[in-house]
Amino acid sequence: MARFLARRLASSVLVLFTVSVLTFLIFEVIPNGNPALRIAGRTATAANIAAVEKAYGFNKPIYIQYLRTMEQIFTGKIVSYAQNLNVLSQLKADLPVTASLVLGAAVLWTLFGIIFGLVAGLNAGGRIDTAITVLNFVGISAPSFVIGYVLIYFLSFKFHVFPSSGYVGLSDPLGWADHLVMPWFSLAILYTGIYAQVLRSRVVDTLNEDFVRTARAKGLSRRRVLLHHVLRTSISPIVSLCGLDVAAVLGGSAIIIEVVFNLPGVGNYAAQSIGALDVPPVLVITMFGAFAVVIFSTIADVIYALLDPRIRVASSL
Amino acid sequence: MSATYDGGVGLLAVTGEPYTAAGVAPYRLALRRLRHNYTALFFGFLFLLVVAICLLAPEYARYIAHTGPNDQHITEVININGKPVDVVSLTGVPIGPTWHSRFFLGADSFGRDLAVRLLYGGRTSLAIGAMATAVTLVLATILGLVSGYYRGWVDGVISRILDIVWAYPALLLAIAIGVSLATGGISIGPIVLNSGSIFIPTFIIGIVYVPYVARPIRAEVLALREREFVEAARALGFSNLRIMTSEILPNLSSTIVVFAALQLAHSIILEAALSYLGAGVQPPASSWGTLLASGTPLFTVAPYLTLAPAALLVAACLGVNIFGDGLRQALDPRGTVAVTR
Amino acid sequence: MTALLDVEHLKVSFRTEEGVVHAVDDVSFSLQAGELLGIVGESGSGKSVTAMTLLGLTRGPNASFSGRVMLGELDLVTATERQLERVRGVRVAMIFQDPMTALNPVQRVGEQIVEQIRAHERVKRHVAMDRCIDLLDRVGIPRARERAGGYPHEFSGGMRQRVMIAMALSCSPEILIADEPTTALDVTTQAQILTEIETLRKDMGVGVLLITHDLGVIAEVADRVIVMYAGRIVEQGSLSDIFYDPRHPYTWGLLGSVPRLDKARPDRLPTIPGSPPSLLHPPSGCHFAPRCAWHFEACSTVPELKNDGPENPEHLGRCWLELEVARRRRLVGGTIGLPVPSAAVAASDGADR
Repeated sequence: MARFLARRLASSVLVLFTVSVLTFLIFEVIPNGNPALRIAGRTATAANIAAVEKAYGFNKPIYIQYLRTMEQIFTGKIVSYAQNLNVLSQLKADLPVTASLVLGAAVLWTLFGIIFGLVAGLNAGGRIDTAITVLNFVGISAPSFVIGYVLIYFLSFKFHVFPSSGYVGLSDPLGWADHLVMPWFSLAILYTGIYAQVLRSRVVDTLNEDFVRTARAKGLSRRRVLLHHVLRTSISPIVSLCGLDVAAVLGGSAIIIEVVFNLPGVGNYAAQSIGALDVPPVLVITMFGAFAVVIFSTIADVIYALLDPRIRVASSL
Repeated sequence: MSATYDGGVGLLAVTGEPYTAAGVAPYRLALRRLRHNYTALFFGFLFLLVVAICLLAPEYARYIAHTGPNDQHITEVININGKPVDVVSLTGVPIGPTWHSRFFLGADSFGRDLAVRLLYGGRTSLAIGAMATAVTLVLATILGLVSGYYRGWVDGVISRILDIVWAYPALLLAIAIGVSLATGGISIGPIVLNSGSIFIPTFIIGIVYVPYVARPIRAEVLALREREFVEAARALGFSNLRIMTSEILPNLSSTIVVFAALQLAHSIILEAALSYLGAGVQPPASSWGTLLASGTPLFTVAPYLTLAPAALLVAACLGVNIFGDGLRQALDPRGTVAVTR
Repeated sequence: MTALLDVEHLKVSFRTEEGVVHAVDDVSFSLQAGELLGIVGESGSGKSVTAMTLLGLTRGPNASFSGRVMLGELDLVTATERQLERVRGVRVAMIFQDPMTALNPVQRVGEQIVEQIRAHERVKRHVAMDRCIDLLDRVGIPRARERAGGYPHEFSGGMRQRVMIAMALSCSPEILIADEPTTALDVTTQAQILTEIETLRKDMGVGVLLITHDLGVIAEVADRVIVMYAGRIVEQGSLSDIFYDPRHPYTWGLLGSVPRLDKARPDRLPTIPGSPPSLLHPPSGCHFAPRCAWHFEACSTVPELKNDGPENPEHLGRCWLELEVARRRRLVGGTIGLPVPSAAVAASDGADR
């Protein structure tokens, strides 16, 4: 187990490093254009450009540029010239909003995904299964921002059930939840669909496994067979998926949902920066987004290994 | 040797042919299963319907709506049921669906016919989706095949690269590259794309999804290469390339086909998200994503500007997703499902 | 003596995409306490489906059943799921063919046995664990206390099957169903497992139903034998009946295809020509007739399973051939089971008329 952990960690560190290099390359070295201009933004003044060149060292060799950029980021000095803000302090302020959004949605989608997936899998081929499957696919096929707008239209505009925008901090729990219910569902519907489909398929497969047959032959109650044997075996991909999807949402759908519902989170900040073609924030957010994925996927792999002892023996690539 | 029957009345002489059950080729079996899957067929048809009407955009524009996607009619006044109505009112509110041949779904704030823009935008979205899917499948198949077959350091390098691309959440990576390129386009050697080209989002979307497809393919290749028919091919002296293309690749075909359907849906959605955020298709070109972007500010006064592109988007993706799942079920030899008659 | 288990005219069929498959067609037998009944037949003969149906493991939306399986007062075919749960593992236990896939790969071996014990009896965990270790010891697992904490993939094939046997016997069932328990094992291990089953049977007085395609296994341990073909019982009797006085041409073929060490080597191993019929569209009449060298007009209707007379009422066969004619046919040609041209048969018949 310890060896497995060590291998996994070493591999993650390598990937993290490469992510930082790659992000750097994407943003500052793409041929065609003045990188200083790109960093300084569309509204750059001559003074801005000069400052950028000094901080990032564009006249120096590439690895110096890279080191300078990383220095900027990790010492918290990186600045958006177009908006005149320190990127990292802005991010710190925005993070609780995004965390509330994503983690709340994650709880919802895991719960409902498991329930729907289990029910569908047990009724495989029947009408309940078809109904749930179609619902799952609607969830998968509708982009989250579309769902967001539809929810706003019906639940805010027509029937004033929930507020359509804004964020209220945790100091007011009811208000906090009130503002987050629609965003949570907008995000969760997609992943509920995915998890329910994955679990359904796993349940159907597991139900045919020999050891499930043995469990029934042992006279175990239906409930025990389901929960202890079928679900426990089927659920492992959900575990790893959950970790990855939280990270993916952080760097993806959360952005759009924050825009739609006007939540002042990291995603919204990213969206505004994109609109203004303001590179430093997008650079930092992209990199941290990728970091989050790597970290979460490592955690998920470790949990998976804890659940399934056979994985620990197989070499990880 | 076995006897032949003449309807069970009496046995005929023992003949020389062994009795064997007639087998059915796997693809025909899959086709048969698919034919009975009415849900999948219905949704596949739905998708084709959306594609068809989008392809007919020019005809619709010319013969029914009598206007192009970018023609503005801000100051125009049209007749509805005999009454003259401003296409765009003085307060800037555009007309809603008229359910007539002109402005069938209404107009946007520039007085442009929404239905026409919807269909033209659909062409862009579907085209980008299809081309991106092609890019993804080709790259993923090659990478998956090579890394799974050769293993060793080749596999190590390719897997690391896939890991890294995969570490970036698709949207962020696409945005990152999109933003980077939007300010100046890209020129690598002979490939020059100006910042407005639709090939930029195409390649971004195509590349971003490669790890999602390459990994399962690699896993399958790893399993396939241990099978006896590969060993037999090697014993016969086939070159590696030949083994990969003529032995392993055909066995991947069902996986690839299923991924094609699913990736098409993913690509369409990602394109919409990208264009919505301004990092995808750039104006004056339009896609469902840009339509959504321009429609959402007016959501409360003109909801159809958002709902119409959303509806078509969902219809197309739903259609291809459910059909794709039906395909996967039909090609899966193990599926045990209740047989309904 | 009342039988432990009475199977009466059991029929099982499954709906599939291509039609209805009649997997088990009118199977009847009974199992006495302490005896080992072997069911032998090739793949697709319906023996496994019969065994699994006894415990209700073949139930599903596409399965239909008729007939009765009487375990004492309870009919297992119509029993509710709750009733079956109280039978499985407690009164009737089952072990399966491939112990690697039959055991839960992510659960410790000791856990799996304890789980069964605690599902049926109110005992504390450590009590159940002690019993489990005792069982593992009895079936011959060395260092049982340590190994109970291991996972299935840490055991060898033979060991895993022993674990399965221990698990099956943990609640002292009256009946043990063994579905091809040795098929996945090498010959040496096979012998050990069979000895194990035999010992436990004698010690615990369990009635054993052993399913196999291997005649050698049957010869080792069975008291009575049932021969199945294409869903039907074609012959049934004591071990010596089947081996020394087989009635049915299929049985002749099975016995004839076993390589003999005491005779001269033939040029080719004798086989039964042809293949078993499709159970989707079985031939009308006797299922074996198309492959039978002695078929005649009567074979187009299904023969009944009947005995040969009062001297041996337990020996049943499903064939139109009369006993004496059958015995003659069997011996013509010098080797049991090889089909011969009808002319030679007619000649030998004519000689006696």
